[in-house]
Amino acid sequence: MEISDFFIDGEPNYIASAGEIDAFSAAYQERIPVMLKGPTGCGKTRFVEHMAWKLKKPLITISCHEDMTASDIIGRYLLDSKGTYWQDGPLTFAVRNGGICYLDEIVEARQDTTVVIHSLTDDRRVLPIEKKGELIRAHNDFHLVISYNPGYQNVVKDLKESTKQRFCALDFTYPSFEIERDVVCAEASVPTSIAEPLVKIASKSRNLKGTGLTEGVSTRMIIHAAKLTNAGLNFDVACEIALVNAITDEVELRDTLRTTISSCI
Amino acid sequence: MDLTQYESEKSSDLKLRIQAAGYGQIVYRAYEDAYERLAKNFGISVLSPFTSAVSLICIKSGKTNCVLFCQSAINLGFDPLTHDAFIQWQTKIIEITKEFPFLLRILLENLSQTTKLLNFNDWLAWLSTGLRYGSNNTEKLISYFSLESSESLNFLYHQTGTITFGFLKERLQLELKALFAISPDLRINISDKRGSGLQRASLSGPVFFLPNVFSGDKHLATQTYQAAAFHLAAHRVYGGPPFEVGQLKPMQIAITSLIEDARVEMLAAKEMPGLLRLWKTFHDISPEGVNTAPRMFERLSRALIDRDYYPTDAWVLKGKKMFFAAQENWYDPRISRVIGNLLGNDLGQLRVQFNAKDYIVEPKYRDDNNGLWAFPDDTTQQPQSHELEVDSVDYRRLSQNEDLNPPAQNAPKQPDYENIGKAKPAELLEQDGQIVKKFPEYDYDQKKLRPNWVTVKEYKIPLGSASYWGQLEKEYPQIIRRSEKLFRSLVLGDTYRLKRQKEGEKLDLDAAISAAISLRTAAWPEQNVYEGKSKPQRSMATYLLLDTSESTRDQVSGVQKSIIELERDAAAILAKAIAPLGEPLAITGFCSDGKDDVRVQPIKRFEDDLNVITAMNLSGLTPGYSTRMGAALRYCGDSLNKIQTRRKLIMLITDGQPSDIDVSDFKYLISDTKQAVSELKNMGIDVFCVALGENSNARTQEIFGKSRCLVINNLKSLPEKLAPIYFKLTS
Repeated sequence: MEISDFFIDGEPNYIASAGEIDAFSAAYQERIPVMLKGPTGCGKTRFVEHMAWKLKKPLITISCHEDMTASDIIGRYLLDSKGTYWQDGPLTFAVRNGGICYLDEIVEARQDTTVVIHSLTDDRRVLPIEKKGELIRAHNDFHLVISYNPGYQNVVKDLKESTKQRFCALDFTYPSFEIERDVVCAEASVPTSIAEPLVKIASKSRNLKGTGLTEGVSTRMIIHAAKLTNAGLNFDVACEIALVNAITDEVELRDTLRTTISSCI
Repeated sequence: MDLTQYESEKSSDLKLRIQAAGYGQIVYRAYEDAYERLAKNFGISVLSPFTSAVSLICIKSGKTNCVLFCQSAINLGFDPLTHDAFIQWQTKIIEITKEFPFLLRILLENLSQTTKLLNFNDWLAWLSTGLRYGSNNTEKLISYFSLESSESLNFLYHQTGTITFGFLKERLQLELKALFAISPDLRINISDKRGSGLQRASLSGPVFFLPNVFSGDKHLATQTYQAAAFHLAAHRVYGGPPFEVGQLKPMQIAITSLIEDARVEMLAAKEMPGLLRLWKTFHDISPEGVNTAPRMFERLSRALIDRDYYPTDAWVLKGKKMFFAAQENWYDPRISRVIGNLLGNDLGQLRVQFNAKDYIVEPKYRDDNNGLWAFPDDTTQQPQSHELEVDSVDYRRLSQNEDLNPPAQNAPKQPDYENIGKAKPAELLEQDGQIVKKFPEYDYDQKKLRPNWVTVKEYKIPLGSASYWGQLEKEYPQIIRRSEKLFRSLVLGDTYRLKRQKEGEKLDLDAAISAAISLRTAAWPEQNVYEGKSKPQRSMATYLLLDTSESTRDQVSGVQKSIIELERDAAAILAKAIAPLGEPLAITGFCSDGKDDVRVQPIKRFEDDLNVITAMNLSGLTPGYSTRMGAALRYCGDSLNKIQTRRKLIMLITDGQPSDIDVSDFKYLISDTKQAVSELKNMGIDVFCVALGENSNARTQEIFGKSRCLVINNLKSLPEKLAPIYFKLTS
């Protein structure tokens, strides 16, 4: 594994909504950790990729899951024919070699994981590796970014106050109608006549958030639908499989989404 | 018929019994008539019980009803009608005669209507539903069995597959929310319960009234409901303030309304073209035909939303032209008035007769347009409200005093439900409560906490049924099973050792040895050589807080239950499901009667087991008084504080927002509740609110935070949903 493997090659497609690019650049310049808040599928991950490309830094993404422990990101001793050897985890790798380390959906990880990043997120910028008895000072290029979906309804999984306060936060919402349309057009290479009704459907479905749907239809989902029409599927069918079937199993909500779709085209 | 001698002797005995009993000739003739027919249809074995039934009914309920019974017996229209069904039917009639003699006649008179629609088993279900619905309320029973209550009709409609309002309400609510971002109060227009097909939808302030039935098959009826609801929504979102009636004649009012209908539809269709397709399907008037006012109006209605429709009538064409010429100004409601006036004058000159009294707006999805006009008070029709709805606020009047042009998102102010019909003295409890503690309350005006302001008293619940668990089990077998299964995965005992782990503090000896062997044999060693521990046990204490205020007495449509009963069942199912986890759980009902009497009713304390006492408490729960949430939450926090767990959660189930009789400023209790929630948060206690009904939405979000509340619109699904919500929240 070489750090050079983690550079982003081509420019990732990203259309800025507000001043998020400047804000991120400033935070990077000061090495202030960044938290990206927002619903799923609204472009957080794409934004980080775009910024890594723009800042010409490698990007190391860690998708957090509930079984993830501190050693999964820090590293562990492994065995081979000669005995034990130490294997850096992705976070340690990023701390040593520099680059943007992106912890996606951090609340999914176990609590001990979130505590590990504390020493990296204040002015110490160090990572103690207990098992090895090593203290790594972060590379100058090292920058920590996490994503966090505040709409997640769970009292057990929430970021601790002490963790939250170490970050500056960029609020992501779904983009405005025009921008979302352009995003769909660009991502799926479809004409506006396909993109516009899809964006309308998505924005109407978001009215249902909290009354049945945990989240509305995301930008990512309508891009899927648009791509399916590109591949020759009929618009209705594309919406049915990319939106209706994907987002809910409740009959009533599905019917409501179908009505929404038929009303918007 | 070939009777043996013995049988014929016996049968003449039966006849003699009636003849000799002195019930009179009419009864005897009716009996004899039925006697022959029944013997033929079902065999002679039915005759003896039939004779006894006749006797009984005649004595208990009189000759007329007895004759009616005999006639009904031979005209029973069940399809198929078996011998057993007849016997059962007769038994039911005898039961009714004994227990509810006043119902017999009503039941028999309406028998042909019900038997036409229902098969025998469904009829039995309809009967028992009615008896349960009415319990001991004579009025309710009579309205049910004379087919006047909507519960009764909905049952019949449901069995016959007719789509009714109640069937579609939840879905329409969702669709309106999605498409128009509004959450109107959807209600049934009850003046037309039997569904003449002439009933129209109606708009009245924040309320959408829809007919109980629209004719047509399932698909068509659903579409009509959608078309009607979306049409009302278009009025709400794109309409202006109500038009002044001024000197307008009824004909001009009708035409202006019709143009306004088209205007809002076209605006809605600009954003959602599919809606126009839906609406157009209902406009089927041909371009030519007689030129009576209603027909001309119908053609105009169609011409205004269908560009490809060219009627021959010059007046209609003129209207179409004027309307589309004003396309740029469709956003201005005044154009409806202007065009309506001009067309009205024209029509007046053509001397076309218009009878306002008989006029019914066509097509059938359009509303009656009463909501568009600021009629002078005396002519204002009072809005009808569903008989089961608690409050009958005059929305029309309320809304007239308000700005009637609310933007879509900013739904019109809800009337203060809490203060209406609230705080009735309830028969709750006979004894006095025991003071538990005084709690502070937050005064947002002075921005400070008033210490020892509210007194919380504990009341004992009048004990209810000890067999409640059994009833619950009978009623929700599947839901209980599903909920228990949900939590079973979390139960599996203490922490246990995990073998062959990637990491851990100890070596897994077996794995280490086999790895060493692999190494010696130069094979690739298994790397999972550690021993770990399973995830630590959940450490969670939960407080279920149930709102038992007066408003929870409301019946929920679609189930024969009140809100409080659904809350109770949901809490019981959840409690049963998580009992195997052994986590501390307390359940308490609360209501309030002013600041000195916040009434909490412990159903289950942390130290209590889930047992028959819990059942009796649950089933004894009765609604009454108001909702002072802040104090109740602080009370829960107080008892949760004594519990040692890592996570603590209060789950509040409520159907409204905070209110009490001694507080007129509704903001006051809302801000106090908010304060209480943040105090609890600082103590490490999470508060999650399950809000019942759309009306509670905005406020609960404000109080508890977006991610700390969930609105359940479909109230009857609460028992099914509560356990999954809790599971998601805590696992």
